[in-house]
Amino acid sequence: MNNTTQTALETSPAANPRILTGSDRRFFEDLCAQHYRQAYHIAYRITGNRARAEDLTQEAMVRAYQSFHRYRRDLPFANWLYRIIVNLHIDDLRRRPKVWTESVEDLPGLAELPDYGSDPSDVVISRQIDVRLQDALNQLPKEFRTSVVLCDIQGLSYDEIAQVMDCSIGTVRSRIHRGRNQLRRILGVATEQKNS
Amino acid sequence: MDCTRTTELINAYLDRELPGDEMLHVERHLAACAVCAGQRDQILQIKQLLGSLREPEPPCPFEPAQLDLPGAALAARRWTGLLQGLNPAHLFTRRAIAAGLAAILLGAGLAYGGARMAVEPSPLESAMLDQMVVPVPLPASIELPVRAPGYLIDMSSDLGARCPVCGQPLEQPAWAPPHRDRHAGRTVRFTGGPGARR
Repeated sequence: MNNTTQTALETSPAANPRILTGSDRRFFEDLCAQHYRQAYHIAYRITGNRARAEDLTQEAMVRAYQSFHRYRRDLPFANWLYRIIVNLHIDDLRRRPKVWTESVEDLPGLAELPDYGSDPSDVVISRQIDVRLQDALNQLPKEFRTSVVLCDIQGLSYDEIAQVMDCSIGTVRSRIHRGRNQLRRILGVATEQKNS
Repeated sequence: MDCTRTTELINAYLDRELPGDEMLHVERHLAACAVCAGQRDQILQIKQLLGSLREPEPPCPFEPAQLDLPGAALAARRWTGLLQGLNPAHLFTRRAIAAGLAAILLGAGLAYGGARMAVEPSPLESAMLDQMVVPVPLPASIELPVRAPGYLIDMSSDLGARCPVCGQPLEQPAWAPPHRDRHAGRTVRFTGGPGARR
């Protein structure tokens, strides 16, 4: 079988259950549109990098599309999508650890940070907080960072985080405990350096 | 309950992830121990600040056509960061710009890179660096969407387990998420946090 024929078969809905059509496709597109921004937020907070977050979000959408036949519709789509994002991110770190950047300072300016409103002083303070917190998050081990992000930013319960990260609730509790303690130390160290 | 045990449980306590009896034990210890209460306030501050981070705007909205990207194109996008869409002209332009910038940066970097490292930061740069190590200011009050984790934070405050929107008592932690969903779309202003008490 030549490549052209093989590609045609793979992209045919009849031959490939991973190709969605009609109402299934529209349903999936609606879900993606609904959760795209939240998914990007999670990706941004766990990668600390806007470009990588965009790539990660889009790849997660494609993976979700390809695996949608395995999605159980009685479970929250968002949590299933977060699980894909987290797994892709961990795989990505394993593949190319040297490319991973641990700082938001490689971002070309504050213009890439979230818009915090129209009051200039609020904007400056909020963006400084954002940069400092994101920088501190980036210094955490990936499991701690992901657990803290899912809990404190996304508001997931320990049980939901355990499902997303495929681990026990006890492990989630430990990761959040240690992650937040490290955050306290990182933010505290910065204060001590300023005072010394 | 001693301080060591309280320290181990304090995060789960703030997340309302402890059984009722352990919640009570931690709460009693916190009421009597200033050191552990201070630790609780610090963690609460971090939780509030993380919960108040706003969602960044994605660079481009979700496009269903992305779902049909072939695997090779997706891989190219991930590895090169150059492919924004399927427009060849766009790709060519971005590559040309990237190549030009790389050449300029290489020349400039070789000529001035070493010297630049020795230059003192400008007053503006110094001010910005100083700002980076200023302690994170804790707002006296903070406005959060009802869906945000802050809703659950308020549940563990001194006010007791009451809904901050309607005031209904919520005696079980498990009651909070379904009750919270009734107020979806509304925002709550939390006041009297640790920063306001200092």
